[in-house]
Amino acid sequence: MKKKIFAFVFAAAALFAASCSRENVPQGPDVLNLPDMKLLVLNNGSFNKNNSSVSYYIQENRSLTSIGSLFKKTNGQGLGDTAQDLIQVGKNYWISVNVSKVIHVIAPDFKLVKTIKVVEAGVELSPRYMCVEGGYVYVTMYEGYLAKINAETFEYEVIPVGPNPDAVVAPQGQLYVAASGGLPAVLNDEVDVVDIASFSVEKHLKVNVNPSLLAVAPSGNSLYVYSFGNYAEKPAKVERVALSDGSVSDILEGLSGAPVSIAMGADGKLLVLMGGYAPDWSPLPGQVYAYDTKKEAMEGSLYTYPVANAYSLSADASKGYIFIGVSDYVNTGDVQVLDKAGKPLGHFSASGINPIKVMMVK
Amino acid sequence: MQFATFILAAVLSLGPTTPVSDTLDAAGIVVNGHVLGAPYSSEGTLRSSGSEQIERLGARRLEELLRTYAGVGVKDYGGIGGMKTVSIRDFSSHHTSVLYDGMALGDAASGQVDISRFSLENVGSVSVSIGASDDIFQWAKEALSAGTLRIESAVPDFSRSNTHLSVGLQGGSWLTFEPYLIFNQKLSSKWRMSAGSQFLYSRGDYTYTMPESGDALKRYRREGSGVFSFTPSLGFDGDLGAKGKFSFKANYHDSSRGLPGAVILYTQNPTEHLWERDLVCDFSYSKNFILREGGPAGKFKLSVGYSMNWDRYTDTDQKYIIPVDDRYLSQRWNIRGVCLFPQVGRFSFSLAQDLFIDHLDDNLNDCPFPTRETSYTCFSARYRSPKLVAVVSLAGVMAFEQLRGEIGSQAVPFRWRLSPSAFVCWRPAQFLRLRMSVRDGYRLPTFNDLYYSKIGTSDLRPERALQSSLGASFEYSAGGFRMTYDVDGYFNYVKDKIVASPSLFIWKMRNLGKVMMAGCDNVLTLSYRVAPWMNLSSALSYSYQWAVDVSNPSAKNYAHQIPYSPRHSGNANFSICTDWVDLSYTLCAVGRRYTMGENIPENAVGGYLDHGLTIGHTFHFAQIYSIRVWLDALNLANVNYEVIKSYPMPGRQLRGGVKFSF
Repeated sequence: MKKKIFAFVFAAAALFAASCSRENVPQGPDVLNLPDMKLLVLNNGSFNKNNSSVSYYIQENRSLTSIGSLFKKTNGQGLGDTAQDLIQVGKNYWISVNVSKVIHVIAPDFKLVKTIKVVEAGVELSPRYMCVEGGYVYVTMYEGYLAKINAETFEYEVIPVGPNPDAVVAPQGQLYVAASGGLPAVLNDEVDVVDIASFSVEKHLKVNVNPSLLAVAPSGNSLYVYSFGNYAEKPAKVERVALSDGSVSDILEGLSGAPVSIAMGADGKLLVLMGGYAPDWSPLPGQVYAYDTKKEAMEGSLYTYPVANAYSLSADASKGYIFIGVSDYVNTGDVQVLDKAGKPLGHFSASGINPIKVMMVK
Repeated sequence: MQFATFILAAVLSLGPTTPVSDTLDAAGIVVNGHVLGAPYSSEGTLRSSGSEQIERLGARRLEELLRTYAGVGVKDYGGIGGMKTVSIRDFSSHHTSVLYDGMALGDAASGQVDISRFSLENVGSVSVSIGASDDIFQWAKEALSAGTLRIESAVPDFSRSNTHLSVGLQGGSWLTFEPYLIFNQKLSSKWRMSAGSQFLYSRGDYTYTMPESGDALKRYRREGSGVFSFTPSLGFDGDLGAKGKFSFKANYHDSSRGLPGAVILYTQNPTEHLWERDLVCDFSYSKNFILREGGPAGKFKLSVGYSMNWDRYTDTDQKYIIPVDDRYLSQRWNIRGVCLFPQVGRFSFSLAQDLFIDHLDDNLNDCPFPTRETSYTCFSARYRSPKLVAVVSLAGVMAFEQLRGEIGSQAVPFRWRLSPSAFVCWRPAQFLRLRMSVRDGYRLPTFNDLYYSKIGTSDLRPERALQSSLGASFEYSAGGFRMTYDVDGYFNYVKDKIVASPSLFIWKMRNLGKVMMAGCDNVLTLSYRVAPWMNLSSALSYSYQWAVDVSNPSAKNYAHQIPYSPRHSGNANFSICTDWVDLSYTLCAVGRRYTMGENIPENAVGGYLDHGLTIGHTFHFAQIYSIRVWLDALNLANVNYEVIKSYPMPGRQLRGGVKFSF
């Protein structure tokens, strides 16, 4: 008993001493020896805390530099609340910030070029995901719209699409919009097909409920749809939609666990981050599976490297790097880097909360 | 530096100090009896204020008073209509019981009480007792809480008139008006009644700055903050002498308020609104009794109550295809009794038993309409000698739950916990009182924790809270000078803390958290009667709080200060009371805090100083009429500081009022 009391008092004293440092500044990025790597990391931040951020990583001559809160440091103002997507449009970068209802356009030197607000019928719209096609940036708006923004003049027009649209992709002259309906009691189960030329909704593809993320096979023949399900009896899925005939099939058939995210990797491999949760609701470590879009066949998990608190998945199709955003929603996130075979190459701090996307700077 | 401060505080806590009289206010000032019905008192750690101290401090709303109490925290989401909750020494607000004229407030759905509705106009005393104490004549549920906030209505002195009427109006910045009427009538030698009503209207659209926007000087307006409320009350009290005392109280609160939410960079679109209709009523009976002729008296009290909280929440944001229109009806029936048995030598014993039935209805698709029957039992024994008081208690709770619908089988039908506590107070000298308390408390998971749509987890365990404290009180007085010093060092440990945790796709409530807290509260009060017509008083308090998250040793926030808990905080008040005017200055100081668990600069919220000045005078006419006129200047530095991140507080504001009484 005395030992227990002593141990308890000692633990309390140790904890107290540990907390006496003025700040517990996070350590810098870990060893990550990739030649000439330049990365942008978009951090969601925490809802209603206005702490979304962009971090920049440069590795030159074996020296790795990280710049957290890049947007704020460069422009003297915050990025906003709940950044959602980051894409490169020409030389510029576009960042959609959902709760703040803005799209920031920043130059290669990260200086702010333009902050775009899309307004329809007097209502500011909440941007989600973006894609670029033919000089226009297409942005889904959570109020149920798709915006088409001129990448040079920033003039825009909007059309109504399905409820709470998430991802948008643009293969073969058409736009596909995942109309999640993620907020109403009855979730939506459609992907809207929008004709680019007429900028109008042509038809709807039936998929699992709550579709969110989309990826297109390099061949352009298949669309892959990640859906959340209804968080109950209808599970999350990744489905393949054959664009030729609209047929839908579940590509995770027979696999245990639940998909967390998808991204198109190198060599036509669709990457699926698989996770799950334990009986006490704690999330299980994530693992990356590869699906061959040429053979339309699941290859299985990559190099066995389960990642705790796996939050997001990004990939660079040209160099084959795989980036897993790691987050417990409370602390500064990390990014785990794998090669295209799934071999771990290292990790570094995302310098922000909830890293949602990693992009290699060309 | 922080370590040195703590050592200094710890040394102070062991140093020679002295007892205080029975009650100390926030600032530690002894409450006098300008209003009949003395504030709650005990030998334990207590902060309390009588109506005179409240008036002098210039506190018009409950949260303004409570934030000056050492060891008491107020979470304030900004503005007049913003939610405000009270917590004790970094425990969550669920561990705080709230009693209004003895009526238990709160419900099983949320488990916490929004104190923003309480004006202090008709309040006779406010007290917060922390931890275990020598009071064994209290309700069983309160005996198990980390602390209890007691709000007692003012009781007029009927010795000169059978009728008392107070009519007042106060108003201030942002179109804030608060008229009220309080009527007390002595019906007979045994019965009296009271009735009152308060209205509040405020546009609440104060301006604030947002440095993150890139323009630190630009002022934005807080839209969607309007509030209207109406709070009538009715009470009857009867003192039938040997037959006992009866009391009936009923309070109703009807409000409509905008919920402006967090301020968001680059947009402002308040679309949320809340309507509340709350009723609480209570019948109580108390009586002294003797078991044998000439023997010591015992006493008991019995209370039967009902409360109802009806809420309607709407959100018309266009991202909702169908606008949100949620309605909740939470009801509680309770019967409570406590008996203090006649003293046996130096020993006293008490038995308290509370029974609560809670039920929740709402219009959410997957509501299981839970019903919970909860039994709280507390047996206490007290030894009291002229120099020593010692109390041991054993309390227990049993909760039974039933659900309807498909989720019914998921209910945990039975939860229970035993909770011992002990308290010792030693008075080695007339001027010094030393005390020690320890309690193994807990809180039951709320209906929201268990069953809220998709987020709730039905098999949660009660949250456990070990609470220990070592304190001293010192008092010195000579001539017109009086000084009190009150110090408490404490150590608390929360286990199985109920927190929202991310699961695969959605957040779930889980028994995950562990929090360790240690700290020290210091309260020093000084008063000096310079002349029969002038009194000077000062109150200073300082709290050190070391509250760290020890849930997960591998997490980055392990052993970091928990969110929104300042290491350092304090208050100061200086008052001059004369026959012509009362003048008071109040300073509230709070150190740096963190919005998230990880203590990094990006998560830091700066500390703040809030200065307030109040001036007032009471004119008396013909001995039975009086008019009180007062003016407050709040937040003199005009800083939109944040108690909660993204919820800026109002800047400088003026407030004035007049109150006519006879």
